[in-house]
Amino acid sequence: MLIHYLKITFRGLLKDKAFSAINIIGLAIAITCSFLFIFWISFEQSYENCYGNSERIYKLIEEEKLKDGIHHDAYMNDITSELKSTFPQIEAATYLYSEMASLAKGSEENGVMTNVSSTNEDFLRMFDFEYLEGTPQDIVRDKTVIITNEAAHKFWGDEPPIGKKLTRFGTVSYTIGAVIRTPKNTQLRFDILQLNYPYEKSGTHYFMLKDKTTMSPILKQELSQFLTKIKDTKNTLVVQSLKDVHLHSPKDVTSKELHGVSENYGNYAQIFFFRIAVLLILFMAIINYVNTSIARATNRMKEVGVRKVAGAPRRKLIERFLFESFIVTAIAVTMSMGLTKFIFPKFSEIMGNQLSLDFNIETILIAFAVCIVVSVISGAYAAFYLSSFKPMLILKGGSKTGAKDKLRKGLLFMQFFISIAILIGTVFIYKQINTLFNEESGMKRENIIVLDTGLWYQAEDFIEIIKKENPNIIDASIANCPPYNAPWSYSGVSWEGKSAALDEVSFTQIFCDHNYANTFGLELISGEFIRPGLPWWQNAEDKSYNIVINESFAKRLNVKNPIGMSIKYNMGIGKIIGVVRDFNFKPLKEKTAPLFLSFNPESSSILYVKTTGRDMQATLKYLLAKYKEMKPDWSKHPIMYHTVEDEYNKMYADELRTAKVLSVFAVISFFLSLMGVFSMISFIIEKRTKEIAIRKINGAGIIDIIKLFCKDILRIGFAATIIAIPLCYIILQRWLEEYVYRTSLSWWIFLLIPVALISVICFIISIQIWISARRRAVESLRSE
Amino acid sequence: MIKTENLQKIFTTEEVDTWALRDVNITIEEGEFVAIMGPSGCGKSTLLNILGLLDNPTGGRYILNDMDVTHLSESKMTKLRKGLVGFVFQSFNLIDELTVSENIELPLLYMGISAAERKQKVNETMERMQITHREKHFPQQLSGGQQQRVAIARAVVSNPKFILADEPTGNLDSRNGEEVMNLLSELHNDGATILMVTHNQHDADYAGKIIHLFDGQVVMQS
Repeated sequence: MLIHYLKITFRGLLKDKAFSAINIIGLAIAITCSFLFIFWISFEQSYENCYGNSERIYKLIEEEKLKDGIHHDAYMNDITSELKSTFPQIEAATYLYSEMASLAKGSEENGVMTNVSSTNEDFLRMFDFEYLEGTPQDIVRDKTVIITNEAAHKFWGDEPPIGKKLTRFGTVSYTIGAVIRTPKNTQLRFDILQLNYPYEKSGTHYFMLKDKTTMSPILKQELSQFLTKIKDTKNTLVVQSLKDVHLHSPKDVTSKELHGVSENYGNYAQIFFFRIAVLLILFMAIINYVNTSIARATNRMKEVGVRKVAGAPRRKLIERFLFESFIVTAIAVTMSMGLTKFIFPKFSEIMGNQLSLDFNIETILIAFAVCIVVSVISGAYAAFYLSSFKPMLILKGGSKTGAKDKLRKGLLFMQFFISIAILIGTVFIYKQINTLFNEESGMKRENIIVLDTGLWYQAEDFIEIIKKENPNIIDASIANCPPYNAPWSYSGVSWEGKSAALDEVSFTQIFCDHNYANTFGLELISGEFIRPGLPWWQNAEDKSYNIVINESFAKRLNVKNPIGMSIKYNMGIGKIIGVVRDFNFKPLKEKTAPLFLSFNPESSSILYVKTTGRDMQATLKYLLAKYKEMKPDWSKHPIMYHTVEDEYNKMYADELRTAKVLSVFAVISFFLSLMGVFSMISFIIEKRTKEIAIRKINGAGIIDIIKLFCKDILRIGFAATIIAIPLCYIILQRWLEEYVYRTSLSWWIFLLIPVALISVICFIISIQIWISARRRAVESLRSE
Repeated sequence: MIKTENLQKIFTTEEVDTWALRDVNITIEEGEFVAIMGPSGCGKSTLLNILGLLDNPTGGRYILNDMDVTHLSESKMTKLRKGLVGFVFQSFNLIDELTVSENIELPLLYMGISAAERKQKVNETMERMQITHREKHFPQQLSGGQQQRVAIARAVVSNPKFILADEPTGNLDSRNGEEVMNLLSELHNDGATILMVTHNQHDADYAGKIIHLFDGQVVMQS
């Protein structure tokens, strides 16, 4: 029987090549999208599953409640001993401190920027890495370090790294004691891991509960208040399950980059959103299949009738059509597996991971499950519908398809609705991104090259020379961060007459030099900016603690002229010497808040070079050459560089990614809609051939016939539009509330999209009808 | 073998009831060749469909092989039809995606017969119908006469108790029609019970008994 079904299925597919192609390609595209996201989502959700103890491990986040909101940061100062001694439920506690450092194989070798992390012994007990060489005991006993296999390969290729050394600043030496393979699905990233580094015992804190111990609400509460008991602080601790770190960390934790190390956090909202989008695409492909099956029902009725007359029970017919659906889906799944394998690396890159896809038992099982589910959903309706035909009705020439017109129209409505919604969503997300990138932010960020030089005492001389020598260089400044993303803020700023309520407000601080305002186009509105020629070293007696504030800070001071006021801040007591116009120093989801700028060169290790924009590559080449010339030990600290646009893109990577993926979805859904309409109209034309002929004989022109067919499509399109537009408006408005700076929801875009979609579809229908209506009327009637 | 008592069939729409059959009383013995004649719309095909267990009467009784099958459900009728009734249609109704041999094999697929046995029966039937040389062809590659021959082969492959033919020569020219009628005669001579609907007197002359219908009623049996 199976061979019989196979034969008839393949012959049927070849007979209706156009419909078969529409079904198979549509399903293949939709299933490919599903596979891509299934694999990506399952990877994102698998973070930290690689550790045997992950269920018992928690991260500590410090929470500060201020008047302007709740602020979070990974808890850093070492309290591991206190945790273990205070809480008997805690078996182990550790910290992980990471920083980018230049390491070299020897004193004469070039340095390679490496993530060097420090921790304690508990870390090795808590996180069970795969040791390729050496053991944790070796590390503890010999006071050596762990290196990842990727980092080892960078330094020594395929040579065994055990016993080899790496140096830092030519003085600190690390001896390799073990090699591990780092799992891809972990937030814990390092190249080198050393234990008990005496100068750094702070870092992101983790602890592990004892076996069979659970995190009870009471324990959680006690941990939450722990800081208030051991320190003079009102801050609390948030206990976060290790498995939640990747996708559910607070925004102010995920947006920070510590010591040059950026962590690749996921975005749960994005996963949720993409899941919905993929389901919609799959739904559209299934709608196409069902629509095509109903359209072809007339042609299948004879077969159903004959089989029933020949003695086929209904379940055999259901089996026959479900099998056909399974074969079509299986072909689509096979095609999509090939497509997925091909597209996955690029897709993974867009999504911010570097994953490869290997087809193993798990992926094949997923493919099979998808095949079964899709074939049942898409084939069930056709199977049950077709098998319900009465043989006598068929053989008399009757048809039930008329009654199913409503269903087909309903499905077409769904396709229109989904396409319009996705297209509107895509356009407005791009519009919002455009706003974020181009919003009047109070600064200029074009054509600025960023050089991470590390602390460099000759940086000022470098700036002087490059400005003089290279006409493409307008200005340059050293700072700890750019003005559009200043991460450091705290609430310990005070002045005479300060209201106690302002204790609950956080103030952001930027360290920079006198060139900063000019480099970034900050507007000084009173007083002066940071002066040039200030001494660099920390302990100079004449070190200046002058500060420049922004408008929002000035408002808080509540004085007419703040110039000359004394402010107490972390460096000591400084004097306000100037006020700059407000600029957006946080990602544009946050309001402008009080900020001050001061000179602290030993905390400023990034050089921002403002260029004219001409010959950027040549300018960069010049800068690197000059840097090497002026910094003799440059190879020990290789320079890292990028542009401000690169940084800005990284800040809004989520939004850019969403827009890219959504635009692909928009194209796919548009394509699927076209396919669905094409197959439906083809069927209707075929069914109404006689009607077309009779109308032509009675004087109708081709335009009249086109209008007749487009009427239905216009009705369905209009209905889908009036539902899609308000729904999209509400969802977009909610989404935009996350942003302080928002694009406008222009009414004409909401109208233009459905009009454009329906126009394209009507155009395609017109072509189909024009081709069909050109046939001579008598030929149509004769064949009837 | 077949007996109807006051058989009625009414087709009901929203506005009108159409009496397709009214008080039809007929008896058909095993081995008979019966033709049902009458003008268009007299109820011939309706009667054939009821006798062939493709439809239920609205009133009266239908006794088949001493079993009252008047109110059987569709699934039961399907079960009963298997191996009992073979159908031949005016428009052949072959499945385009199946070859000649696969079309003939169709009834056997639902009878739980092994593949080897099915193949043997199909081969025998094709030889009998003299269409073995077209075994692997598709219906669209055959002439009308050849298609009807395949349809007859399909109708007889399971050795049914009786064969129902609805205007079997309606879509054929006279030469092919003659061939098909000769085939049916041969089957009858071999012992098949045949019930044929026709409005062609020439075709009806092949039958041993003719039932005349007019406006849903039997007006004459000859």
